[in-house]
Amino acid sequence: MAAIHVSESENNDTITISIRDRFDFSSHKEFRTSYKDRPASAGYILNMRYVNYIDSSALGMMLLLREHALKNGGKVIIANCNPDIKKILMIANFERLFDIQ
Amino acid sequence: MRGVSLKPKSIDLCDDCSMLPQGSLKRADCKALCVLIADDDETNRVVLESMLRRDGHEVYLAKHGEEAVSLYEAVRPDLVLMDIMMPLVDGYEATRRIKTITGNHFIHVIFLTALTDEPSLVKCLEVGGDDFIVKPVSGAILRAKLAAVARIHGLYGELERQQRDLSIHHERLSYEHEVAERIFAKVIGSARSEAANIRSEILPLAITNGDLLLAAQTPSGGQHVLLGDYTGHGLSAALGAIPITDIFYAMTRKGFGIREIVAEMNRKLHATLPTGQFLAASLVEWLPRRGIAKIWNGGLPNVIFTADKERRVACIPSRNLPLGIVGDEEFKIEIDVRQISRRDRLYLYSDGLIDARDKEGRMFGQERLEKIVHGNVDRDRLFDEICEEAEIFRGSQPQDDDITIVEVLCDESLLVVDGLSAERHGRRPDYEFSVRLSAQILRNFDPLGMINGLINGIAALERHRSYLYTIIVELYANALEHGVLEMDCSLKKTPEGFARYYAERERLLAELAEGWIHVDIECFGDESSGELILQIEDSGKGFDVGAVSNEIRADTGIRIGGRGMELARSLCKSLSYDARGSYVRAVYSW
Repeated sequence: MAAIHVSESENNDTITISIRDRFDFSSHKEFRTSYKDRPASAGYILNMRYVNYIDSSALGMMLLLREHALKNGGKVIIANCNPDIKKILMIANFERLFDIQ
Repeated sequence: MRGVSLKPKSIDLCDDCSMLPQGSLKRADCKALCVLIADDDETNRVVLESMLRRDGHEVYLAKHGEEAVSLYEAVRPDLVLMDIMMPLVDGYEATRRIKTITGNHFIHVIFLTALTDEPSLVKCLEVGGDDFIVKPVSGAILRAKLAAVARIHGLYGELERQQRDLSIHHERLSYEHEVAERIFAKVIGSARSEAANIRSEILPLAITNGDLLLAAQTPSGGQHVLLGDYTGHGLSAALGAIPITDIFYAMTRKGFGIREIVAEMNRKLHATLPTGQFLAASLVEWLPRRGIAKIWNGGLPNVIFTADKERRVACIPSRNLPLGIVGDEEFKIEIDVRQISRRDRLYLYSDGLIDARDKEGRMFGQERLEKIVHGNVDRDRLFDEICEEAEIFRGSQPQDDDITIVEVLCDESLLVVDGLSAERHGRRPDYEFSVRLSAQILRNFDPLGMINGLINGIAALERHRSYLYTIIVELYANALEHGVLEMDCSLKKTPEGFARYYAERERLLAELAEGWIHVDIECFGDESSGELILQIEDSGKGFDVGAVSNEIRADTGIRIGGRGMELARSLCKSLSYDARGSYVRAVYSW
């Protein structure tokens, strides 16, 4: 299971969600609570620096986060992807939906 | 065996709970238990019984080990207070038997013993006892132990209940899974066509597969192929497959192209799937008569094209979002069109292939796959080579994802042909020609004369020229006016409108900047018998064929648009439009 770490910026306008190792279905619940249980934020950064594997349910979870953010007028940045993960995101054409950095 | 009289009769009980230190044990903690007392000394039994009853417990009494075991079987108490030294069967043996009978059920056995030597006490626990109290028994200690037992019992009962719930839940889930699997198998099974030009290797991860492969022939003699890969596997994936399968077959049958099919699938999935669930897919529309294939790729790895004769290999990457993520207004459809010659091939595969890992954790990868394709010599062996390499690579590593590999061999002779063209199957036409009329040609001259000239040159058609000419003129006019020029035929209902209609037609035609009409004629047979197939496709948005046909019946006196079509229909053996109204196929036979 992926370990998920959540932090908020000082002025509370960005929530950074960092995931470790595998980002797959087993992280579903933990990932959801990482933003559901917090007050809505203007921006979410999904820090992928420590992720070495994602599957299609991870893409689904990203879409759920996006929906959550859009509902509150916020946006999602997917940051620090390794080349393999970036490729997966590009195949799914997720750059049209997310800011991928 | 020891004499009964030798046993110490020293149970020192405090009679009232109020004597207990407050807070350490309240009466409320002593949930009522069912207690079995096994002691051969009557005084001990009576004293214990009266105290426990007063505390609200249910009490059963046994005079020796034998009786203790049979009573245990009969009443199944929560707790046994067990004396060690008893006639017939002693406390050790009785405990051993009781623990054997209980199996998984939880039963507490507390020894009440006068023996204080270490080996005796150790043996209490070794035979399966849970605790011991050394005689003389203090009432306070006994109550405290009982309270502890009651607490453990409460927890244990809760645990048992949860476990039961869980197993019921699990059973229900696997039942529903099974039902879903059957539904899925039925949907796929009833629909999957045995296309001779398609080879596939499907390795599902779960019972129900998240990958979906569909193929069907189009009314115009082409083929549609879909490979889809759902988010996740199993049940949720299978559920999403149902609307997709329906749309794919229904719309293909009605003559829609992949652009419309993709749009409809996206609309449906976006409306029904929860956020986070989607379908990555590739669709291929192969049009053998026109020598092209249209490919839509949304979220699957590169579709690979291989030319048969030359060493040409091309990749068609995903340029689209997977299906079901965004709504209609945001959904853009980008389709790649490729020239296809006979026996060219297309390879579709799910990302399970690319992401497959070997025992060192390395990925199979796109590059490795493309290397296999480039290194291939015998095209007939390529599909096997890919499957074999993937198999060898993976070794005994467990699968992470569903893997599907599909080869589409573009050879028209392998397609199962419909009733109309069955007699010609496998034969090339005796005469055929195909012309694509660009906007520039349409603007500058009337191609009907040229087409007529070509038909005049075919001896077999000598007696049919005028009929054929009528058919071509009418269908061509529909394609031009209602298709490319997007004109509304209701204008022609009145005499003034009729004139205006043709003025408008001139004007629009002169200004035409883009659009095309594709005319395709195939002729089989000789003077005595034969068949001519005319296909006209245009770049327009199509028109409502049904509405036009209805208009004729309602309004007979005046020549309106639909009438020409009806005339053509009456001359043909068959005439059918696709659902959009931008493709027509007419068969004339003699």
